[in-house]
Amino acid sequence: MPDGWRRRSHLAALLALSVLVGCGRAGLLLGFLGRNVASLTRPMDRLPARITEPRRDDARLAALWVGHATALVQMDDKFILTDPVFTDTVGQISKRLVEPGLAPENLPEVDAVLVSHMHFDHLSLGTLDLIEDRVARVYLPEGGAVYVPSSGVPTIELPSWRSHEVDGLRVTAVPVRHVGFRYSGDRAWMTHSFTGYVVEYHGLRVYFGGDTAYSRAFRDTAERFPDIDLAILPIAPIHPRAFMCRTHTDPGEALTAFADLGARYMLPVHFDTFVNSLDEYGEAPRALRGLLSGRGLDETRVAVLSHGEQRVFLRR
Amino acid sequence: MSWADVAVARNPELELSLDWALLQLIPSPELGFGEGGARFGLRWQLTPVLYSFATDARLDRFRWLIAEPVVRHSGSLEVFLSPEYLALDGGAGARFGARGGLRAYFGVHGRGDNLSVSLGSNYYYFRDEQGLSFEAGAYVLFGALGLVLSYSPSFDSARWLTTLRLRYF
Repeated sequence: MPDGWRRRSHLAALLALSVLVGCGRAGLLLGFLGRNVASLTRPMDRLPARITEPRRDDARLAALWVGHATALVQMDDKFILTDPVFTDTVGQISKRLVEPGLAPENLPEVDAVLVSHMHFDHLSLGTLDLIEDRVARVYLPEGGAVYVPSSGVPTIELPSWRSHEVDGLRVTAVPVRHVGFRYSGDRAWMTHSFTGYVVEYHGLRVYFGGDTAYSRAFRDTAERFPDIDLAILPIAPIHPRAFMCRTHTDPGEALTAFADLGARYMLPVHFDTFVNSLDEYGEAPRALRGLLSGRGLDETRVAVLSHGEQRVFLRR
Repeated sequence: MSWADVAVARNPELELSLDWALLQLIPSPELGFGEGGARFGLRWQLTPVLYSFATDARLDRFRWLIAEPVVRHSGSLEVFLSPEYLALDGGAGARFGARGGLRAYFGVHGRGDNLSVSLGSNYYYFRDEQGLSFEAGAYVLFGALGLVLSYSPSFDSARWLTTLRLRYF
């Protein structure tokens, strides 16, 4: 085959591949967008009853799943709130499917808000406006402060393995595998702003994975933080797996991460709250439950909560 | 393990990219109203310099060319330059112009992510028309979609101008 012809063939193949990849990505984006637009006309599910007083006097360690990656964790007298989103939409186009499991006005004084990364479903500036008067400080991944303007609350950037402690409550950033951008147009430089956290207080240890794909980072964390009491881990989005596996654990991978961390209890999050994938509603917790017995686990250790449900893991 | 320095926040290292450059080519459609009826137009936007008064004080508040949406819409003052096409009478040479000026943004809801407004003024230059213009705008979707209303007292052909501003980044 002449060289020129071969080069043209390679070029044509590359072009065809680019078009296919481009079409695939565009199709994926259109698929998400279509499902989000469809959700805009769907009424948000109301919960029959919501907890109005989340403080549990009988608890050393408790967690209330608000929805998506938002969980209110009680560690003795301290409260930690993960990736708070209480708004009806994220990014104004993805509507909440189920109302928040806790009304924002019923939040107790929060000692630490943990923001795992900059995506709209994890860093909600509208939510920070709503809850700011009850928050002592906000922890951000390295480089995250630029996306939290006009904050009346101290924000603290934590690079991996760095800690900050106030009044015995120690927060340490730990590595996870995800992405740090918010708008996509910033992906070239927002390459650091994603993290997990370990929170320690009165001998209790809680891990929050934010959004993460499976990686050996869980084992690295376990080496430095043995005896984690509770691991809050994402179990979705699942589909399309070839796309999602680079940034998100599915239920099976989340259970492997739970084992890697060596934690006592697991709270699965990041499902059935916003449309961010091709998953069917209920698919992720169903898949997780289906895997439990095969891993020697049950729902006493893996607490698959409904929106607004609270579980006391350790009592006084 | 080591302790974090709470006084430190990491400045983003913004860089020009092909993606960003291509996004700047997307025009914002507009309609001008004046003598002779409605006139269609297109406008592009460039920000030579922006000062964000809402950004965390630990960080650099100036931006050159590239400004993140939240940095712009949470509260900022920008110098802007807008190449523009407006279907004016007088042929192609009369239809391409530009305007440059100063615009202030204020975050209204969600620190500008959900709703922001702007006020500004500029000087427009077309071959047969030059003068001062005043404008007000409102933006949603982290600033990606906005409506800007401009008033140009001495621009007879397009005294009022409504621009559907499309600006992703």
